[in-house]
Amino acid sequence: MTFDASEMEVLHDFFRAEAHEHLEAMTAALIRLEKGGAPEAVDELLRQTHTLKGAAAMVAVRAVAEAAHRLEEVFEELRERTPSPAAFDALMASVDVVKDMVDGGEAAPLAARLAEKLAEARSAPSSAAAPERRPGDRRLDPYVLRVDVARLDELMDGTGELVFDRTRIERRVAELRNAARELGRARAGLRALLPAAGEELAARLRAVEDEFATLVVRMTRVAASLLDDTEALRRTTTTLQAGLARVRMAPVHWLFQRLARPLRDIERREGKRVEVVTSGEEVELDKAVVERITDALLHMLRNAIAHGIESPEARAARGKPPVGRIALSARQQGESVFLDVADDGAGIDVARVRARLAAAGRADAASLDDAEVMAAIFDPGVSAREEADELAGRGVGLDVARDAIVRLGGEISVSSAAGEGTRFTIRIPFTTAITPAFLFKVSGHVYAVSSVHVVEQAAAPPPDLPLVSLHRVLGLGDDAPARPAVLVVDFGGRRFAVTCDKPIGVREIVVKSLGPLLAPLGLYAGATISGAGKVQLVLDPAVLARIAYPAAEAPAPPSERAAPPAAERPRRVLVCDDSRTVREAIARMLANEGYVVDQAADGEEAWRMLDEVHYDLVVSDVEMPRLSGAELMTRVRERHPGLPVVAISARAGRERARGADAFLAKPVARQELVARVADLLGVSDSSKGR
Amino acid sequence: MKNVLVLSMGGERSAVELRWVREIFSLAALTPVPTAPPAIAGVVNFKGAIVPVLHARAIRPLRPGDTLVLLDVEGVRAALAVDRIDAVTTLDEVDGALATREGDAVPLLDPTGLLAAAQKLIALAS
Repeated sequence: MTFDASEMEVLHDFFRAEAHEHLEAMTAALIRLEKGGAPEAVDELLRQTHTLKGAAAMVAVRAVAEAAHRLEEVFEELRERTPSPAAFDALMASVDVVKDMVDGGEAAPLAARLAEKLAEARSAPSSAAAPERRPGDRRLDPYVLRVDVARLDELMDGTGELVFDRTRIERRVAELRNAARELGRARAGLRALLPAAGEELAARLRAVEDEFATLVVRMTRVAASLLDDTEALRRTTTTLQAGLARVRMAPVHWLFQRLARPLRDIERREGKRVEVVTSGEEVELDKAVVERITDALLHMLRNAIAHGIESPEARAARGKPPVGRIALSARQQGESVFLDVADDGAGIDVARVRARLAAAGRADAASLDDAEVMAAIFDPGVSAREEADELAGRGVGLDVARDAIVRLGGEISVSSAAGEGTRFTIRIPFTTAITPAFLFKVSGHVYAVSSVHVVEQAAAPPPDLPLVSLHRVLGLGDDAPARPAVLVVDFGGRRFAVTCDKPIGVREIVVKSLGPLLAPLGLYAGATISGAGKVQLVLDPAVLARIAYPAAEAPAPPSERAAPPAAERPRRVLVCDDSRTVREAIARMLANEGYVVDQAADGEEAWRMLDEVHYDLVVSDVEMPRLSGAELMTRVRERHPGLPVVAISARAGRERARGADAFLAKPVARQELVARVADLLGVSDSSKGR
Repeated sequence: MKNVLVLSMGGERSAVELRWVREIFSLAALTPVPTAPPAIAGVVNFKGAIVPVLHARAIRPLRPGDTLVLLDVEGVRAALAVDRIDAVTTLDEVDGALATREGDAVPLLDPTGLLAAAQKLIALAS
């Protein structure tokens, strides 16, 4: 079997990813074995080495195939004896050597080093007793590809390009149609000449005219089918994007496995034995999120082992089992994923933290209550960073760990009971954490706009589209460049061009609220924080669309979609219901009328959104978990007086919906809903877009 | 008797009750918010949250390193740009102002009113 160079390169990429998968599984199996996980762990080791050997041979990476064979020989012996801790060290080092090989390290010296490590593993004293099987070990599906997140991002960028490509094709189709039209005109001109021509010439001209007619029909037909093709392209692009978004989700198992190795190093260093119990491995998280919280989690674990779990003697004195226990668990709840790191150690010594706070110059250290002191361990300078440097080698303090989580839109909290243990709980938004946005510069500052609305980057403003100058919109005066960069934005079918100084490109960002004070400003959908820690404003494409299509001129939108109902600006409605189907249905009914609709899954979420965005009306279910509709209404009345609320519920719920401005019984009828909403917003039929 | 932070803004001294003060930090990178009223100098990243910076008595543009006082009034947060912090102390209230030991009167800043005023200005701008 032969491959050409480019095919081989692709295969090698696949191989590298797969090999890492096997080697990491080997490390994990070795750790299980060390903790008494035989013979399952030995079986796993042999299976992994065997597969690695086969894969390496397939792509002719002989050094790795050979190395896998050597590993296999040594692992085979593990059936007969349990290695000593020193032998385990050597085995893990061996696996690491093979990793280096896979990553393209020079083969000969690495092979020598592998032989050395394996000899070490063999010669280290070991107990002859065959290891025992431990019940309850379960494994996850091994047929999981390991993919570099950067590679996924490239794919994501590629699908983004597809959107631009489609827009370009649509332009060409328009050109083709124009050409057909002109050809039609030329044909009419030809026909006009016929009466003046002699009989013989007229007959020949008529034949040419016929040919013209056929050509016009054919061109028009081709243009129409091309347009159908672009529609198909659009559907495929959407499917691809959705699929890629799903691919980015990885089971937490992957994250836990990744922690196993450094965890073991910490254990050895601290001289403490710890049993790690994991649960919820199947919960999924965006890989980019995993990348960003690994260090934070590692820090929690390090903390638990170094400061939480006591020495075996101290544990015995307290009547605890000598081996400490850390429970790592994940669970998804609504739109959030919760990660728990709980140890059964000594708990946080509040008095010591208080002393540390005082030492760090906190004047109020003495007056804080215990919960406040506990929360302060996340403040800079309170958690001991120098220890983190030395141990994990990554220099993450609790403050840095907390910041990493907050940047993702999550939060971290800690609870502790003296003598019983400490629990860190990390909450991270499930999907909304990271969204693609198009970044660009205006007057030296970076701005962003949700990339789903950006359809094209153009060299010059398309003459047929309204132009929005960001310099003017942002009030930055006349320092606009002579040849600004142009983005074509499509918001709900309203297409317009936006000028900026310099486009940067699509990036994954976390959109944050501007807070209650600045939220009414409009123009901004929020802000994000750059890698360097600087705030970047995210523009609201809805507002830009309003600037591009002011009410006074109100040109017909280029697409068939609905225009906003009110002349001045689209009204924003929040739909809140715990049933996804119900809120989706209501949202669609209202979106069809041209309202901008957001959805919330329960009262709590709605309450948060009300704080962040200005809404003109709320449609809310009465019965909901967490924060009920009735309670939401009471709160809305207090904080947002004058905001109309439409309550929906089963007929029996009318009683509890007394605070609402209108009540609709489920199932909600479209006409009734639309009429009530228009009523409450004072929108008359004539002022609607259509 | 009030626990206060005595600070200088635009060359004038005033005092803020400590209960409104969440943190004192120095400005790293300010992001201007072009359409906001002039009293809002911009926004900053404070531990991952976006916080507006109020520049109440602006006599010069803000620079990195300038002192910010993070105010928190029932969850509404804003950072107040000040020239410097003079003292954290306890002062007696006399006729709506505070008297220092030297007998000077220091006006008491009302964060609730300040934020309400900022809110009004923003509503006008939007």
